[in-house]
Amino acid sequence: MRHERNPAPAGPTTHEETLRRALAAYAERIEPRPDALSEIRRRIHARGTAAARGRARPSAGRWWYGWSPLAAGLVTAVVLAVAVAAVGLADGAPAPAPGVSVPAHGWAPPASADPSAAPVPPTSPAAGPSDAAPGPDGEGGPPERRAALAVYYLGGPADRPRLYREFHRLWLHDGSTRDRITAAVRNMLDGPSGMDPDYRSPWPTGTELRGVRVDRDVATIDLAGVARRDVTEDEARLAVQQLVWTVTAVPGVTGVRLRLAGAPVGRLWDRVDVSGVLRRAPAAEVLAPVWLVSPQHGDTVDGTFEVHVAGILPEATARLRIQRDGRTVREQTVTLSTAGPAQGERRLSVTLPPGRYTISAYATSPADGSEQHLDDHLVTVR
Amino acid sequence: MTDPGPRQWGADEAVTRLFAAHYRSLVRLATLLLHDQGAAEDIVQDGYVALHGRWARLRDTDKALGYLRTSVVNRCRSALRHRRVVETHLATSRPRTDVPSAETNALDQLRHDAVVTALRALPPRQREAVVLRYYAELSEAETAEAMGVSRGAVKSHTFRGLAALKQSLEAQ
Repeated sequence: MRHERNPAPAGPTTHEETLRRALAAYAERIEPRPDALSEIRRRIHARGTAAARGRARPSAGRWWYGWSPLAAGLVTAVVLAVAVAAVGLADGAPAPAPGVSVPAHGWAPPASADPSAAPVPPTSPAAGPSDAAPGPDGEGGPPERRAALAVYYLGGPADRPRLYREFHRLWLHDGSTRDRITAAVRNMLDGPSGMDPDYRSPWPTGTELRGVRVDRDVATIDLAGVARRDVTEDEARLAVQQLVWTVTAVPGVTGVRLRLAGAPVGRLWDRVDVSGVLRRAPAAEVLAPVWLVSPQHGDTVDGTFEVHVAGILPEATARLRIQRDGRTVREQTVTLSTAGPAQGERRLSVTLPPGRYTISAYATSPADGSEQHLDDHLVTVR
Repeated sequence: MTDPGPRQWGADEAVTRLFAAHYRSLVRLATLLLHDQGAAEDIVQDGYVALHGRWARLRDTDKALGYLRTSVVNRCRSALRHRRVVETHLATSRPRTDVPSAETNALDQLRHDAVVTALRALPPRQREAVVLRYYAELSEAETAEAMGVSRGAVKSHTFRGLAALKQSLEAQ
């Protein structure tokens, strides 16, 4: 051991020894993927090639180079961020800083498939928001080993939560249905919130995914460590739908069977029936009435970018507001493609000078004009 | 054939050698910080790619390892910040409560899992300090370098992290 000195009176040595052993035991179970060195070489080579062809080429790929570790935050943030709805750089748009290339591919928002999402008649759940992983990398690199997968969360008023969706760029192993479900569910259970802190997961911390089995279009999800929770029936029902919508966002899967610690289960938290095959409830019953699909919370986007709003609204009318430092810089009505109970959508192009903005999508109450169902994301325009 | 020292290595060779020596432990370190092995591997690979461009200025294995560690810690921190793992939520929803306190062999695994679960609930800086000190076995000075903070800050993060872990484990 190389301690200069024990780090103080935080407890008897037994605690420190327990900690040391626990960390070592946990770490020992982690085995890196076998082909990492060739992946690193490929990336180094890709960088060299890109550099030779001119700096800051937008198509240089998804890697940013020449960053010090201290500046690397943005890189990682963007790598995890997903779905930057970059609409090609217009001539007048601010150029990216040297070395900060904006990948124009591989990051395409999973747009094509997602909005078709919710107009789902309950009879055709397959039409749900598919993960719509970005297509193969343009520059001829090896196929993407990560995909943007849909992960659902609860949001909105505590007494009447609804589902929101984020796309998370997750690591895949073989890209199979089972693999995708595993990645998405594990990610869903991984933290108490989505990238947007307003999106929460009601599954208790410590819930782990024990296993996934796929039989035709039904996935059996085996969870462990699902602690008892004192939740309302609504919350329990939405928690189950959160899992179901996340799992069935993977193409080819339309139903979920739930197991707890390997055993079939009849009721969850004494609140909701989870026996048999669970299906998506109708979109209008479980999805939030307004989604700001992209940019996602925390995204960094180019000066000209696409705002994608979806909603289940009786008059197909949503509102969009963009604020900077508390001042509204843009506000407008957004007419969606379809009125409720189907989910309509709309994409519009927005150009903004660099800075940090809050983009909000919401609806106004037909009764008194008040703002409802607000979904806001903090976004950086570079 | 003599083996040229690190000063003579080209960037490719440096990456290959440092990969063999440290990749696995850096991935484990990043996974402990992030609890997501896929993202952890990505982050460590980012570090090696950056190192390749920087090798000409380092030309020293110790410095290179320090650089990789700092890179990993920073990137993990940013990833976590981005993921918005809000610690207050974790603190309010207790991990499972069926972990026995006895440390017989059969129960060690449960105990270890409980430690790792409690570790995930720590604020990022405290988790970094605890993992760097107790998993990576770094000195205070090395931990300070990797975290980009003073030694005093390392002491305080470690202290608070250990106290919180202890409390969390005893509460179970």
